[in-house]
This record gives sequence, C-alpha cells and structure tokens, in this order.
Amino acid sequence: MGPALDLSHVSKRFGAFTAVRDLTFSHAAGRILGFLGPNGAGKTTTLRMMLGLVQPDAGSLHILGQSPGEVRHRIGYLPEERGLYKRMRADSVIAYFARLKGLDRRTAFARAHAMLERFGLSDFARVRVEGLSKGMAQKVAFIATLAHDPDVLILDEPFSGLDPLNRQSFEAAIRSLAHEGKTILFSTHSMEQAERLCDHLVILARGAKVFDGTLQAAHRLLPRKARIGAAADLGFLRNLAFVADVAAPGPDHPHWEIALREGSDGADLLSACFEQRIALTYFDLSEPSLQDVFVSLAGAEAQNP
Amino acid sequence: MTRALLVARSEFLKYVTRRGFIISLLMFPVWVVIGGVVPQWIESKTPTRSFTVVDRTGGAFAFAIAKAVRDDTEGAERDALSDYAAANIDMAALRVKIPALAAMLDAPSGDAAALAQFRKSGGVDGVRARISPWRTTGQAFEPPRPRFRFELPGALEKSPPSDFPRKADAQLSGHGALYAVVLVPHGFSGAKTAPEAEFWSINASDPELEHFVQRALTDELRRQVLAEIAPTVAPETLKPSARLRSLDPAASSGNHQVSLADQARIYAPAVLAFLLLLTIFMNAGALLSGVIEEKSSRIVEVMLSCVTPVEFMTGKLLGAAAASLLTLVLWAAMLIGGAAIFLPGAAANIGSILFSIFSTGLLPMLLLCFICGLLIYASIFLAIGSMATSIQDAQALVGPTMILVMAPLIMMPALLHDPNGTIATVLSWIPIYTPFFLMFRLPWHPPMFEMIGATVLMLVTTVVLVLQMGRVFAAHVLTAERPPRLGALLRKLVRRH
Repeated sequence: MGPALDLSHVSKRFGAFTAVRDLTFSHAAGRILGFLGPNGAGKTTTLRMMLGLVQPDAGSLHILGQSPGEVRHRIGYLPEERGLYKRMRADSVIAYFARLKGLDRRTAFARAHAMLERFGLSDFARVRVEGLSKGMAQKVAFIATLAHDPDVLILDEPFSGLDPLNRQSFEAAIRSLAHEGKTILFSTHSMEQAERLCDHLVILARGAKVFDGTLQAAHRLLPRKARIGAAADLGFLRNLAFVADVAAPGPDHPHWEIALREGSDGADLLSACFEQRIALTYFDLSEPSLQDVFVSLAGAEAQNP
Repeated sequence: MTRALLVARSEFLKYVTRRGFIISLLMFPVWVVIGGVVPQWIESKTPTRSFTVVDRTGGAFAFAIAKAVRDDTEGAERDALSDYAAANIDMAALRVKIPALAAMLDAPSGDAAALAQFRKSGGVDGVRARISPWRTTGQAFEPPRPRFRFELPGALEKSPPSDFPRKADAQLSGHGALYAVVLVPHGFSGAKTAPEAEFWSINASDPELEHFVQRALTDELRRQVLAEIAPTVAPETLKPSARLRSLDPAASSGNHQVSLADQARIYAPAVLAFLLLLTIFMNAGALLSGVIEEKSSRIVEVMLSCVTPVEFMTGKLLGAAAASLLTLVLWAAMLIGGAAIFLPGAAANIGSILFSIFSTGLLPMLLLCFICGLLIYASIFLAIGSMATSIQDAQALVGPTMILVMAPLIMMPALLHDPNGTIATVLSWIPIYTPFFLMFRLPWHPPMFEMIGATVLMLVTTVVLVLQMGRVFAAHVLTAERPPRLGALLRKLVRRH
C-alpha cells in the first residue's frame, strides 16, 4: 500500500512570489505528521494544495493515491479559525458539513449527536455556535471535521485558544484516531505539542523543506547540551575533544551551557570538572528540544535566503 | 448538483432567518399601508379652511366663490355617499326600486347631473334616509368634513384700501383666525390692464385654497364673457363637459372597457421590475457580508474542501433567488390578505386582478426576467464580496455598482409614457438592464424580433455573467489581498484560463 500523503517536487507561485518550492515528502497511513514552519513558510499554501483548493504549478500531489479533488469526501479539514457558521446550531452545522461530504441527512444527524455526546457536548446540540464558549466551538469544529469518518485529517493549529484540559482531550482524541488508522497532518506553532504527538515531522522555511524525518532524527540534528552551575570559570572545557562549544552564563541563561559532540555523555564532563576540583551547584544534561531544532533550521534558512 | 442544492438550502435558511429579512418583509406592507392610508388620514384631519371674500365689484365674484364652495362640499358628500353605497347598500335592489337615486350614486365623481340629482334628493340627509332600507351592513354613513367654509367679510368690507393689509392681518392671526382673505378690487376683470385679485394668507405652503379661488374667479369671468357674447343662452349650455370612455381592444371584458384588472395587468410588470430592484438592494448587503464573513472566518476553506467553487457559488445564487422569490410571494400574500381583511369591498377586484395576471401568458416571462435579473446582480455582488476582505473594501466597488443598478429606477417614470419608444428600445438591449426593461415593456407588446432578441440576450448575459463572476469568485475567495483595480479585473475577465 502506498503512502497516504505523497508530494513530489511540488511548487506554487503567486506572481513573482514563490510560496512553495520543490516540496517533496510522503507520509504513511495511521501516523501523525507535524507540519511545522514559521509564518510565511508555505504551510497554508501546501495545505490548500492538499485540499484541492489551489493547484500546484509544478510537481504532483496525491492523497490516498488520488488527486485531492477525487478524494475530497475522504478528507477532514479543520482550519485555524473555527470555520463554523455562527448562527447555525451545533448539531446542524456538523450534519451540514457531513452531508456535503456525502452522508445522508439521517446518518449525518445521528453521527453529529453521537459525537457531541462523546465529546461531552450533548446538552449543547441545539445551541447556536455563537452561544458556545471558544473551547466548545473548537470541539464542534473538530467534530464537524470527523463526522463523515474521513481517512485523512488535516488540522491547522487545532489547539489554538484551548485551555490545558481541552488541549489534553484533543490530544487524546488525535492519538486515538491515529490508532484507528487515520492519517493525520497537523500544522502547529507549538513545538511541545508536536513533540508529544508526532511520529513524523516536516519543517518548512521560506517555501522549502528544511527537515523531513522522525522526532528522534530531529533531535540528533543538534548536539546534546549540559547546563552547569559553578562559581569557577569553566572556559577550560573548550579544550576538551568531546566538547563542541562552551557558553558562559548570560542574561538569558544563568548557567554555563556546554554543547557536547555526538557520542559523548555527561560522565566525561563530570570527570573533567572533578579533576579540576570545581564545586558544582547545578548539573543538567538534556536532549536539544524541538524548539531548538526548529529555531536552528528555520532561523538559519531565514538568515540565508 | 446535490451539494449545490444543499448549499442553496443552507443559504436560503440563513437569509430567511436573518432579523433584517423579517424586518424588510414587514416594512414593505407597512410602507404600502402608510403610503395609502396616511395621505387620506392627513386629509381627514385637515381642518376646514375658513376664508372670506371682499368683493368691491358688486358681489358677483363673492357669490361665485361661495357657490363653488357649496358645489365642492356637496360634491364631496355625494362622492362619499357613492363609496358608502358601493360597500354597504344593496345597489342591485336599489337600481330596480329607485333607479334615479341609484344612477346618481353610480355616477362618477364630478358629474354635474348627479350633483343636481343629489340636491334634488335632499342632500346627505335626504339620500341617507332613502337608501337606509337597502343597507346590507350596520355601518353608518359619516359625511366628510368640508374642505372650505365661506365666511362673510364683516367690517373688513368697509376698510379703505390703505388700511386693508392691517385689517386683513388682524383677521388672519390669533385664535379662530381666517385661513385667507380674498380681495376682488374695483374694476377686476379678465383684461390684462385690469387690477388683480389679491389672496392674503399666512399659509403660503398650502396652495389648495388659492387654486380653488383662482378657478372660481376664472369660471365667473368666463360666465360674464359668455353673458356678453350670448346673453340669451344659459351658461351651463355653453360649458359642456366632454365625456371620454377608456377602451382597449385587449381588455378582458367583452365591451373593451378598461377595468381595474386590465390596468393591473399593465402595471404589474412595472411593479415587479421595481420589486426586483428592491430585492436586489435587500440582498446585496446580505450577499456581501456573507461572503466577507466566510472569508474572514475561513469557513470558505472548509466549504471549498467539501464542494467545488462552482457548486458553492451556484448554491449561494439559488439560495438568494429562492429567498427573493419567497419575499415576493409573501409581500403579495400580505397585501392581498390585508386588502381582503381590511377592504372587504376590494376582494372581488383583487380576484379579477390576480386572474388577469395569471390568465395571460405574462407570468412565465415575468418570472424568467425576474430570475435572470436576480442571478445577474447576485453574481456581481458575490464576486465583489469574494474580492473584498472587509466591508470597507467592498464599499469601494459597491458604490459604482449601485449607481448602475439604480439607473432603471430613474428611467421608469419616463418609460411609462413611451414604453416602446427609442429610449426604452435602446435600454432593453443593454445586457445588464434587459431583465428590467423587457419585463417592463411586456404588456405593451414590443415587436416580436425585439422580444426574442432581448430574451436571448438576457439568457446569454445571465449565463456568461454568472460564469465570469464565478471565475472571479473562485480566483479571489481564498485570497486575503485587497480588491484588484477595475482595469486589472476586466483584463482577468476577458483573459482565457
């Protein structure tokens, strides 16, 4: 079985501006893809091409092996803003989108009520969207995305504006959907959520792909970093072979920050400090965060157009 | 198509559940009622205007004016009795039993012989008593308030010319004042060199009495001239009134008499053309704000992930057209229902009017014009909405469009005089106006080649414009850019994909 999402050398221009440049990636069914990039990186244009809203100028794009227009009814899309008609009732708006995706009226309403109940909103089924809280409306929009039981879910900033509890329930729902075999792509600016949810990451910057791989592979892009609290000068660590860089404490970081070369661990560092009889007040060894990787990749691309 | 119909249904429900829609729906009959009832109410509440005449020529002109006042008052009473009898008296029985009285009541307004018969029958009290046995309702007759009352001049008559303005002013001011004072000076006649009569009043904004007095004076001058030319001939015989009967070979009645239903058949298309404009004005705002809201909340992306742009726009157009047709039907129902309830005497007329409109071949053509007009303008407004990111953006394009839309409204009164003239013909061939003017001209039987040509033009325009506006809609509905300049837009429209 081929990949659920398959983009090959896709480009899109708007006049002289190239929004997406030679983008290639694929994504297997039943997995969660984090689609990351700074503002203006080309994420929205790529999502619109996946939805068949705009046509690529070059390259090919397949969803479930077909063109987006052919599998429109098998895709669920949740835009960043809620994308709901404010004056429609919750169950009606869910059923309306489900019917547009091919469900008959009775099934659409039955599915809407079942899902509203599953998400704890059955008491609000007949309430107009404009009368719901932001979290509730976001849930209704999410349900509207799922009501027709799509195979592919495209979620654009699904967690924006949600409180921690709602965010947690959304994350659980997304994991559960992936477990059921749905293909999920979500675009986000929250690196923490991407780290918690995604098995696969694609990072865009200035319309081009700068990373495509697993979370582990992303972490390996940057060296591990140790943070050490000490009154003494640790500048001597620069001379050690397993140390890549040393940064003295500064306004944005209160400790010494030591970047380690690949293959080394904290024990070497502790031994070196011990040999110099340096008293340590703080020691922490951590993997680089996705935030670090993102800033490193997207920032570098932004500085080297 | 199913998806377009689903969108249409949703759009239709959105329109008809808007508060604005319901207010507009109710406002129209309210305005019709206000337009019909308020002038009559104002007239009924206008106090009788008392005035006096100082006649320094010997009294003939004062007498003539007083007689005119009496004729006017009694004429109004006879007209009111005639209307009352039509609704409250068994006229068929009355025509058999007292034909002269019935003929007096059946006569049109201003009929001199009927007025004479009215006087002969004892005026209001006499006629009321004679017709009461044939009353079919319990409603009593209320005579109308006289428009004018003639008062004797009193001391004013003796005032010297130099003191007349001061004395007249005293009569015209304060409680119980006169409405006007008329001075007919010594030597007043129809000659150009003769002194003019004077109309003194502080109510210069109401010329009704002034015109009335002028007509009465003119009639008296004519009578005097006639008396000099033909002293032996009675003035009435030299003042004949031509009676003209209005006939139409296409009239629905067998005797070609133009009935209310025939007039309705002729004016219904003009009214429908006006209502088309009204519904366009009503829908324009809703269409624009709907698309702009869908763009700003990104609903449009969700919609276009479900349906194609063509299905989306088709649904919107069908929804707007259905809402407009519903508006039309409800307005008509409200007016007919209101008339049937509040004007029971008009029920038969309403029936014949409806029969006249439905029985001719007009209705399908009227509906076609109405729908084409709606689709043309709704698609233009949808395209404008798709290009705008805010109502402010849209206003820049809506302004000129509205001026274009209003053009038929400005031309309509002129076209009523010459519905098949050059202007009407030229306007019928301007594609965006064809639905209005074709609809407007239908009852006047324009030449067949014009009918066919304009219909084809209208259909082609509708299809082409909806498709072109659909292109604009699809191209702009997902963008967050400001609207393009008109030149760039036109270039886009003519360029092929």
